[in-house]
Amino acid sequence: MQVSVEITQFISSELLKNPSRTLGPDESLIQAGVLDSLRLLRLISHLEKHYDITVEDEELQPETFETVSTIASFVESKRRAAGR
Amino acid sequence: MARKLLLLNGLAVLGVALNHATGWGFTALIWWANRYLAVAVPDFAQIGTPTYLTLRVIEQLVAFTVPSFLLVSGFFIALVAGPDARTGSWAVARSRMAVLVVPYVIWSLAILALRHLDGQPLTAEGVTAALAFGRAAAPFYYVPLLLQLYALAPMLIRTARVRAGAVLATAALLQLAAQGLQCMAILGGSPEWVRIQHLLAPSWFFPTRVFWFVLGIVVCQRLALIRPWVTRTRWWWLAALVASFTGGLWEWEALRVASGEPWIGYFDTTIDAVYALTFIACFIGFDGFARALPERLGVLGGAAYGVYLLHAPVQEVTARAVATLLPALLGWQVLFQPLLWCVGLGVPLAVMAAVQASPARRLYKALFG
Repeated sequence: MQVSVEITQFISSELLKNPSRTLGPDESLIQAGVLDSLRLLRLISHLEKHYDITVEDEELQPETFETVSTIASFVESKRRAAGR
Repeated sequence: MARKLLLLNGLAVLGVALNHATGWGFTALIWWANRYLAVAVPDFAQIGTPTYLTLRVIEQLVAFTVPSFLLVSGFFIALVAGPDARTGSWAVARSRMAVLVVPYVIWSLAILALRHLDGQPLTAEGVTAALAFGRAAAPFYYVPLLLQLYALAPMLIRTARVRAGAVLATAALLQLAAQGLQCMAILGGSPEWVRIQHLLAPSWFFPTRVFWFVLGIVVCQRLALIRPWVTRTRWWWLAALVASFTGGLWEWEALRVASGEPWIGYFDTTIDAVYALTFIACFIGFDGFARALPERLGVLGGAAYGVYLLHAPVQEVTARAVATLLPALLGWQVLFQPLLWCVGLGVPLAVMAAVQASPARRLYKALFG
């Protein structure tokens, strides 16, 4: 839950520059235009740095970054795999 | 890979501001030379001087910028296309096009209004043509070009999945043909070639740079194959980078001499394309290259579209203000160039930060994408 909140805050504040923008956990970020090429790259870069994970080339899949929920699940699975 | 692409985009933003600063540098050196020297203009005697050569070296160094932007865009659209490339990529392409169009129209109209206040006539036909072909400011051709590539993306993605080599080769041939027409317009010795080039290969038309977008799609779809190969062959890419950089410098002077004209307008040549390809390959193949760059460059890369739209008018206003108010500075390129580069980056970033910190932040996406 905490990861979802942090990701939502990062997307609203840092990527959309609009902290009041609300994002539903299952809102399609890519098709709604919330994530474009650069925002997606910035999000991945942020996840790697903030959660100390590495997004491997083969993990660059649209399903992973479709919604806040799928991103949070991905981060949590990476952290579990790393024993954090 | 994501971090590398973001940093590459950040480097390209730095490069695009440098590139247009050198354009004003050449203007100051040749067309405005009478403002700080007792010479008649245009003063083509400046060609070949150390100042001219330094500007050419900078121009050649940053020839990777637009190819990098297009490669990142192609990579992204292939990445988010999803399993159903037909509907998925259409939805994403439509959404991306909407995000690009609104700021482009706003800033184009703002620039046209400023030019009108400066005495230029404003007609409905002129405004329509400026919006359709990116004529409000020199670098704006990029937006209609990218919109066409996004419109083609669903077809390109589907085809590249099954016939990557064929679609890449077709894109390369189209781009080579466009560059060939540009060369003929310069070397052909007939106004007919110029007319044909303007008709078939204007800068806003997708064939002129389609290869980079398609390359981004193919790299994304075959990343597991391409990245290790580029890493294994990185020293070859580095050797090709050095060769194409020096070759590009030589080629430009050869083209200028062969044209019989004292000056030719800049365009991307085939060796420039090889240089851009080798630059991108080195960036992907050498980990140390990206590791040495600061993280803040990635943030700059994320603000690329806003900086791209704003930097050119800001640099133009600055260059014209210097020419009017402080013309002696035009003769000091060592100061003039950093000034243009700093305002070209600093003013757009400051405007973006000011909008973000103000009640107008809701308009941020509409203004800067």
